[in-house]
Amino acid sequence: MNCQRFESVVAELARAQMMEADVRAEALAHSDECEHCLARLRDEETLTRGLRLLAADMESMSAPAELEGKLLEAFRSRSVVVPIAAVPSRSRYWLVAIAAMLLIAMSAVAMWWRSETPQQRLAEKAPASKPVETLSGPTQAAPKDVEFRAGGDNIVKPQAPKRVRQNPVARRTPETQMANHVTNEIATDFMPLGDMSPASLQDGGQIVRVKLRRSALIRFGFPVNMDRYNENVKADVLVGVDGLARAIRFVQ
Amino acid sequence: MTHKKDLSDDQLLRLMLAGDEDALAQLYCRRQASVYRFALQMSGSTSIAEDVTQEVFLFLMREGNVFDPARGSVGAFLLGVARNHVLRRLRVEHLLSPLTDDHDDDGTVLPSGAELGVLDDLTRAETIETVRRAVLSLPPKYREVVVLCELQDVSYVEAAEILGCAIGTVRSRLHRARALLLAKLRPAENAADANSASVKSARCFA
Repeated sequence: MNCQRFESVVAELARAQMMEADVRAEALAHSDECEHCLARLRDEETLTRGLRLLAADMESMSAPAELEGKLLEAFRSRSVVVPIAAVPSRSRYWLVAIAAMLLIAMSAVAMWWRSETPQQRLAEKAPASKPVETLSGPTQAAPKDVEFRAGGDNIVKPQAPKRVRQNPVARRTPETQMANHVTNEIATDFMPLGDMSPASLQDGGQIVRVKLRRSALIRFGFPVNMDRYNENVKADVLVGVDGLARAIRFVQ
Repeated sequence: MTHKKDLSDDQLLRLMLAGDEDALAQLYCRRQASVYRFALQMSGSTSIAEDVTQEVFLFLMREGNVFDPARGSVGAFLLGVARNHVLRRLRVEHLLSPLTDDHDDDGTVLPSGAELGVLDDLTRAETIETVRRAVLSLPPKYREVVVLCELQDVSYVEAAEILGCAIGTVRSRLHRARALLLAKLRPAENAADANSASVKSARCFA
C-alpha cells in the first residue's frame, strides 16, 4: 500500500468501520513504516475520539417533555377539525365551479362581442342597410359597385363602411401593421417624471407617442452616442387625467 | 399501548394516520430524540431544535401519507424532514454562513489520543466544546454528513437517503468534512500542513 491508497482508507480505519481484513492489515503495516501516515492515522483517531465524546455528551438530550403534550393536543384537535372542515370545503368547491363556469361563459361572450367590428355594429344599426348588404359581398365585382354608386349620390355615406368591408384584408392591415410594429418595438419601463411616485402610475391616463432629442436620454441615465446627439428618439409619455405628464418610456 | 412497542415504525405511522393517538405517542417516544439532537447539532440552538422537532411531527400528522416505505425507513424520513426544516430556519436566521474562526484561533488543540484518557472533566468539557464549535463552523453540506455519520451514527446508505444523494457523495463529503475539522482543530501553525497533507502523502511511496 502506498500513501495515496492509505489516505483513502485512513478515515475508515480511524472510525473502525467495516473494511476488508487484508486492506486493514496492509494499511496498518504501511502506517508502521511511514511516519507521515502514522501521524495522519493518529490525527484521524483523535478526531474520531473527539466526535464520539461530543456524540456521547449529547446522547441523553431529547426534546422537552411538554412538546409531546402539545403534539398530542394538536393531534386531538386535528381529529376534531377535519370532519368539520370537510363540509364547507364541498360547498366551496361547488361555488368555485359555478364561478369558473360563469367566468368562461362571460369571456366567450366578450370574445364574440369583440370579434364584431365597430363597422359591423354600425352597419347593423344604420337604416340604409340594404345597399351595404349588396355591396358587402366578398365576391362583389367592382363595376357593379360603380354602377350602384353612380345610380344615387345619396348613398355616399354607406360607401365608407362598404369600402372597408369590401376588402377585409385592407381593413385589417393597418391594425396588423400596428400590432407588428408594437411587438417589434423595444421599450424601457415607465419612469416617473419629476416628483411623481411610481404608485401614481397606477392612476391611469393616456399614452402619447412623442419624439425627443437623443440628448434627453442622458437625463434618465441612458448612454448616448455623441455622434448621434442631435437625432430624435421615440418615447411614450403617460399623461394623467389631470393633463400632467406622469411618466416616460423610451421606445426603439 | 404496551403492545404498540412491538410494532414497527411503519405500522405505527399507519395507525397514527388512521387516528390512533397512542401510535403517535409511541412513534414520538421512539424518534423524537434523534430528530431533536440532529436539529441541535446542526443549528447549535435549543430553540431551533425544539421548533424543528415540533414541525417534523406536525408534518407527520398532516402529510405522513407521503412516506414511502420503498424509499427508506421512517427514521430516515423524519431526519430528512428535519433537515429541510433546519436548513430553512438557518437560512431565515442567516446562520448559514460559517461561524467566524475567532473562537477557533484561541489556541485550543484537540488533545492527542494518549492525553484523552487522563484528562480531567474540565478538559473533557473543553474538548467537547471545541469539537462542537468546529462542527458548527462547517459549511452546512459538510456539517450534515458529520452530524449524521459521526454523531448520529447513521450508515452511509441511510445518510444518502436522508440527504437525497449518492452514497459516494456522502463518503466524499465526510472525507472532506473530516479534513476541514482537523484543520480547524489543529494549531494555527500546522494548519497549512494539514491542507497539503494529501500532496505530501502522494510523494511518499513507502
